[in-house]
Amino acid sequence: MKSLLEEVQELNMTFLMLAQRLIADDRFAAIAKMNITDEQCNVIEKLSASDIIALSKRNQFLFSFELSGDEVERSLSTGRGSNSMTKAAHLSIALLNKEAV
Amino acid sequence: MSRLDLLSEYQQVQTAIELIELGARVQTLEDVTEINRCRLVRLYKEVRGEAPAKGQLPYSTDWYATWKPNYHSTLFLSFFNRIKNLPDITYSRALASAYKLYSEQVLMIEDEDDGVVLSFTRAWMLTRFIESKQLELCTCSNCQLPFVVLSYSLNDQFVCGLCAPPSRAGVPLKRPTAATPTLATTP
Ligand SMILES: [Zn+2]
Repeated sequence: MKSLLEEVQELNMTFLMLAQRLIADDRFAAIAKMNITDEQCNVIEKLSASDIIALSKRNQFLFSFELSGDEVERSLSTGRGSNSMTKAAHLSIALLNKEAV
Repeated sequence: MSRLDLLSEYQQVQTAIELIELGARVQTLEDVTEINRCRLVRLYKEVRGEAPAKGQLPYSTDWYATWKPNYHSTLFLSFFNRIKNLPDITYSRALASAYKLYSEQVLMIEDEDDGVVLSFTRAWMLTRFIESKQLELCTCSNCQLPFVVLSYSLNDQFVCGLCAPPSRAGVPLKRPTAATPTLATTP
């Protein structure tokens, strides 16, 4: 069985590899999807496989949870049911109005 | 023609094809690309297999202020605004990417009562209405997020349609909770 620690490392690797695929598919859309800056996009794009392994090997996430408690609460209380478009729209609009740092 | 010109022309045609696939009309393509009308019509026929529809664009700004179209428009515009100023992006590229982001998010939810409400033509017109200041963004006094509103409307203590949905939308009308004290006291 995989340890939680190994799973964190794997998630970091998956994140960076998926990021590279998203950037290759549509760079501008990828920047919006990941809420990263143009500069971060350039950095991620150029990472080699060994760079990705080196960055991923840690007990911390390389990406962060961006929502405040208020935002989660507000989004979850918008609309009814888990597949409500109003719920999704409220959360997406909140995420898109966050400054990438 | 230089290599750079050829490359840029190739990219423009690629984006135009993408826009046609997303539902763009020839009027829109003429507005957002530098390709001439004749070529656009040919391109359109090739991609869609039929001649482009003729006629005026019937849309007015009022539609964007109605409940469902409003949060769809705001969602699209939030994607568009997030990417429109990125280095090397063109207007047509920003429209194509933002519209794809919008429709992909809507289709992902699979809400039976809600679908891709905003057509590509309406999305493009929205960006132009914002530019000409016929529509603008106004911050909701409850969630603090910017939503599309008609310009010059009285937006004092504006509450967005997601914080206060109309009762006929099948959602119980909730009184928006007051903004947190920290936000309310911020000058
Ligand atoms: Zn609101």
